[in-house]
Amino acid sequence: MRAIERLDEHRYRIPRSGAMRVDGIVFASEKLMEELREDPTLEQVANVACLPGIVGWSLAMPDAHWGYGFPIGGVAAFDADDGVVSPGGVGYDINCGVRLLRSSLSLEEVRPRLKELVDALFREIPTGVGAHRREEVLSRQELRELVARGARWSVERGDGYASDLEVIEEGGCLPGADPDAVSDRALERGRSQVGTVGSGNHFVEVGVVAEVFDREAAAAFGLEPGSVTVLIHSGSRGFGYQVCDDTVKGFVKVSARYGIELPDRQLCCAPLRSPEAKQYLAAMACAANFAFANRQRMAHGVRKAFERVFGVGPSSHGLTTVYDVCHNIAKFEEHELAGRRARVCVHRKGATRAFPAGHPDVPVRYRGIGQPVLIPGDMGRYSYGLVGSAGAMERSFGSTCHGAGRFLSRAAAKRAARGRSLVRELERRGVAIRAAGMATVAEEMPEAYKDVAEVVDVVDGAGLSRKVARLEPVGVIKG
Amino acid sequence: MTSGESWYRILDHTADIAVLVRAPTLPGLYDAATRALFDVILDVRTVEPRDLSRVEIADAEDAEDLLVRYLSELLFLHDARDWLFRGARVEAMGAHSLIAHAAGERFDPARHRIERQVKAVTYHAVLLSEDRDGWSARFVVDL
Repeated sequence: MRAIERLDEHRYRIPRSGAMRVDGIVFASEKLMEELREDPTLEQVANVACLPGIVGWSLAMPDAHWGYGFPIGGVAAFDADDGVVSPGGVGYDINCGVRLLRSSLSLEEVRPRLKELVDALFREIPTGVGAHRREEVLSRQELRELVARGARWSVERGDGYASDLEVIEEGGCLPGADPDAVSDRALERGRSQVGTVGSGNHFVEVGVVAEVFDREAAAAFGLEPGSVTVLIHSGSRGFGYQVCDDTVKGFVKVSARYGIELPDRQLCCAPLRSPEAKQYLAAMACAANFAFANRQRMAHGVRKAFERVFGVGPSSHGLTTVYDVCHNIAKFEEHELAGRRARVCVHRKGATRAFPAGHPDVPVRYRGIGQPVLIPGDMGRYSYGLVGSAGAMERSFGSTCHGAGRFLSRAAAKRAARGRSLVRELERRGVAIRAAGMATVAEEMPEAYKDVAEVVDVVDGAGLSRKVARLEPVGVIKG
Repeated sequence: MTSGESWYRILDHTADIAVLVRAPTLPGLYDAATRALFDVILDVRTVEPRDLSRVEIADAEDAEDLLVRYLSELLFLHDARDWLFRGARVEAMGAHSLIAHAAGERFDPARHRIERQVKAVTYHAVLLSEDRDGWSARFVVDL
């Protein structure tokens, strides 16, 4: 076991040793740290610290857990000249992320027709394994345009409004996307999956603003206490998995060619200035744009479902996008390191950007407040809206946590669910659910997850982001 | 499990799933690994071996890379073209290449209940080795 020093109430240090080039820093409470000590996450934080060109620290957010190569909840920045990019540091689900919509409807107005609404969402948005839109298979050329342009492509097809684009990270289009960098297989997998949720921990959730912590920020985000919200959690589907898969395969050789020693094959990487890295980043941007378009399409489906069930138009439901964040991504950003500005490639794998007020990348309408940060919890308890704060720029390359993290294995969750009707239990808690498969409901049951409130309290306490509002689910569709 | 037979075990970690496979021969290992991968996705007993899909892998780095590439190919056929497999017969095999025929059928909603989605077969902690009793492999899937 590695030596670990407690730095303060919310931070632990894994001191640099062996091949590590920088220290590891873990943001955690004492309780969360006790759980982390039991698994290989800390070793993975140390492994990432060995990669060439890493600057500052190898970081783990309080929701960190065991991943492949990089831990989930890991953040690492690499010097733009001497550093590397690692597809494993982004993950298979490139630009897995979260979009939050707010509405002007109250829970009292929605509650009587909630079941109908959940059914309508379930019909409108394909969920589950192998969810395809058979009626909506894009041509190869259409998909190439979509991945080059992201959410704007969807908006131009009639899925949503130009105003949505202003409140999506990167405006809904990561620059540098080149469809020629993407394999035919990725295009084949993606053609029928735009606008589908997928399975596992992905969902579309109708919620209510249950508690407000920061009135000014909540007002800026349009989150009125008692008003209905919709949270969408999904990513780049088979398209992104294939881009990652294609790259990881080649990068094992590429790492060897550039003389990079790997503590774990899944950490395979390429120097940022190499043609291989440029090709991956161009393909990764395509996958990120696929995910932006995917969430845009689903958000439009959410609006259509509300319009159908409540017989109202867009001006009455007032469903507007609060924000849309990526939590599996690598991006070039400028950060201050030891008193000087440096251009770095920040990898966030299961971590969310959290830029503070005044940062030029925060949308104009939130620039005085800070960037909204969206943290989904489990389907029975709550999710959080946060806002980026200055501490994130000093301590975590402008990053914060991304969710709750699993507590039980899938098998253990299924055992715990045996003999119980989870659908009825959730209904008693006021949550209506529709799922493609009951196995997913059992595996994703609330007890299978850590309490996201604990995670959020750490990032708030550590100054990485501030709590704005707590959202409680009332209706969920899952894969 | 009896000596001389193939078997696999699905190990469920907190966030993900690792699969252990053992078989007397290397082709037998590929057959069992095919079944194991699809047993993560659904009850593999519901898959009928109606058709064969030819899978060819070339230029693998080493034995582990060959296995991961092969399983990833099956996953692609599953996600993009709705295939489900329950076994495989290896036709030819070298140190860096393989030709196999995976046996299975297309997804039929009336008979198949998909339990979970496998995003990818990872290189994380992948192992493939031979001892005097046969072959074993371990791979981790991303869910």
